[in-house]
Amino acid sequence: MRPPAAKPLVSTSSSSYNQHEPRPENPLLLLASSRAAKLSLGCPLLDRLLSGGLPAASVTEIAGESASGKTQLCLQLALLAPLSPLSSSSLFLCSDLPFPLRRLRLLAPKSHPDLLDHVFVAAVHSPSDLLSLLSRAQHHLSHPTHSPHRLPTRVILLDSIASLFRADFDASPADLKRRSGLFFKISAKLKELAYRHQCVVVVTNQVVDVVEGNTGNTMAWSSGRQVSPALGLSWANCVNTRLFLTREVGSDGGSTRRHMKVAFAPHLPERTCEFVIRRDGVFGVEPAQR
Amino acid sequence: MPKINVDAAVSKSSAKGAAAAFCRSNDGLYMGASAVVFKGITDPAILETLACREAMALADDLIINRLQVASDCKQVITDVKEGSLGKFGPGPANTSCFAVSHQTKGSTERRNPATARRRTLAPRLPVRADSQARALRHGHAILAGSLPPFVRGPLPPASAVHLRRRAAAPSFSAAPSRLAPAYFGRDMKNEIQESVDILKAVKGANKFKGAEEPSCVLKGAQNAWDMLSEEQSQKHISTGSSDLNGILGGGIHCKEVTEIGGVPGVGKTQLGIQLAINVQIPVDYGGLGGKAVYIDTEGSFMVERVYQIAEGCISDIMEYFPHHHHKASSGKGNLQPEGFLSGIYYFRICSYTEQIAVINYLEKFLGEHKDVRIVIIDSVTFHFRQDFDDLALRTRVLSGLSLKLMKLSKTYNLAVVLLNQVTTKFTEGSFQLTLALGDSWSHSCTNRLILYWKGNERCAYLDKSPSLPVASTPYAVTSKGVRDAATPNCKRVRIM
Repeated sequence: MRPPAAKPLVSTSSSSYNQHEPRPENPLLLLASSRAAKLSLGCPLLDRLLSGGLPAASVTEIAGESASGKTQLCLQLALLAPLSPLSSSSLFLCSDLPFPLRRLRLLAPKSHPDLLDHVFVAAVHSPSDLLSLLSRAQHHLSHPTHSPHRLPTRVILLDSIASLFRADFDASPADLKRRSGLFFKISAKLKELAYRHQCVVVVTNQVVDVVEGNTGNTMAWSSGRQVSPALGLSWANCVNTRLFLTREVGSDGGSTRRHMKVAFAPHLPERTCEFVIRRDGVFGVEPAQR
Repeated sequence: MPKINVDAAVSKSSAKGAAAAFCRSNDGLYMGASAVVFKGITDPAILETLACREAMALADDLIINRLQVASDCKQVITDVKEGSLGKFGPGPANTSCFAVSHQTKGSTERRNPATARRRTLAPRLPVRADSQARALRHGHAILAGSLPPFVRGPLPPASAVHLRRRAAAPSFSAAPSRLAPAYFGRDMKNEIQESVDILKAVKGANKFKGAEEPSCVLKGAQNAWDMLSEEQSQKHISTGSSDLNGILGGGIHCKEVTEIGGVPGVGKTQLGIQLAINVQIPVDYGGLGGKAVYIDTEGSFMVERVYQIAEGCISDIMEYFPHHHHKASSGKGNLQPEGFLSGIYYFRICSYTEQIAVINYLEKFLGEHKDVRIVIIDSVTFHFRQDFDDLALRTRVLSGLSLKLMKLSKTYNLAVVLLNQVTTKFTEGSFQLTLALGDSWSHSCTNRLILYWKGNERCAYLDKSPSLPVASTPYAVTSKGVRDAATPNCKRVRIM
């Protein structure tokens, strides 16, 4: 991004925004809409964990090991979006190729076969690819085509951010710096999209093993080892909410117990909820009676 | 023994006066010269005295120990000889250490009828014809008048005099010139005396202009006593946790920039929102009763959470001031969380250009909304951590922003709170956590608070403060907002 001259440039976002003078907003007027604009997870227990669902105008990260349910959750969200109060179609940016089309088909309820019409899938191969795609998405969202069958896109899912950065980057300090510069750029773009069009943005992330114990909320126990979300502290600064999906093999021999934990969120206390992955989706369960 | 001729001139039309001093050795060789323009002084007697003083200065610079000063103003000469201060104060007192003589002016040419009362005497120097000497002097005066006026007040600062000297000396001579030495040493006595002169003159000038604060010497300045009493009566913005207030010296200070940094999830935004609510606590309940400006760069401002914190704040007020609630003072009415929400001016910005624009706009905004007492920026460095092609531009922009914010806090008497992220820095062979954009940003704030995790507990560490020692304390984030860390042993009284 080339830094411009002293005068602020007209941004590339939707043209209806007045560039002459910044205008303050009154949070009281935003209260009602922010309470309504939540993407429910489809399960009342998980919704209670999130105080209603995933918030709009905010970037939520779902971090977990492989096969912990991240992609499943994203697919579920994509199918829930048209039926939720948001009433939107979703944009699924897939970097973990191939896209799990079969699973999506299985998840779609038989009663609404046309739900798949509202899921748009795009493949992303690299960070620069993602940035150009986001610019195109921005343009597309600012100029919606009005058609009875096309719902506005208000949900953006990115699966996953870590695999975008697997290649191309060594561990040298210069590359790390370049990588974290890209994090902030991507995050700023996502947040701008989220704010301007009141979108729910969900990003999934993988985990890495942690050797020495980190304090606080960055690490969790999963599958018997200490893990921490990938991409480090820089990326952690880029997301608003982080959900941690962990699993542990139960002591009673064999049964896997999965937990969704709120690692940090500006509006949620740190809570955990147990869930299961079933054929028809991800659902929370009440804590087992001891 | 070298001789310095002095003279003064007045231009009533442009309300300026000039004084010149011209030094020649015994053989008539040119040694140095000086001329000064005084804006606003038109009294010939004062100017003649200043000319004598100028001669003293010239002698200093030329390192002349014994000399003669020749002036054509009898009044000044008699004052010096008699040692009386006259109406010119310390000026003539300085000139008491050398012999003074009169000098003839020659028959003609009064530039100003007011100088007619000077007595004329016989010329002293046989070498130069008087007309030539006079022409030189007049030339000096004319040159002096044409120079741009450096002087703003009634007395010239010493440096302006030196500039003038350099300008005057080289362009002039019929005689082989030996330029005055370039170094300007002055001895202490002159310094103190000059400061006293300047102080008296400026005070006098201000009295004429009718300055509002008679106790200040320069317009806009404050003396330290006033500042101290103002500082002691300054209210602080409570953070919600009494321990945290303790290490901050009562809370967040107005007129200061406080930086708060920490890892994600440790509670920076929570603290920011808590401060935005606490600043609105009415004066009756011990708060400032002001409004807040919240500039959100990251999208962490969740309105429902703000509502929750406002409810928590109100419930604590009601618990702490139960009798106030029943008094039902007519103007106040009940405290409602909606009222607290409306008292926050919320700006959401999506790029660094918008951030610059908002901070530039703040000056105008704060001029219109005088009840704003806190400006919170969350977080100030987020948009600057992208790759900038020109790092120097980034540093310039950031320091410009921080200067603006400091100026805003002082001008409008409000607190500026900047929330910052942390990053790892590779120092001394290991990675350490530091605040983002540390080197270019770290000196911009007055106070710095670092939030960190200690085990499972949140702690705050006061890293930089002009008046308080470094200290750390635990705190907690509850559903009501930022509060003291729950200690199982003692029962704490919740103080807002």
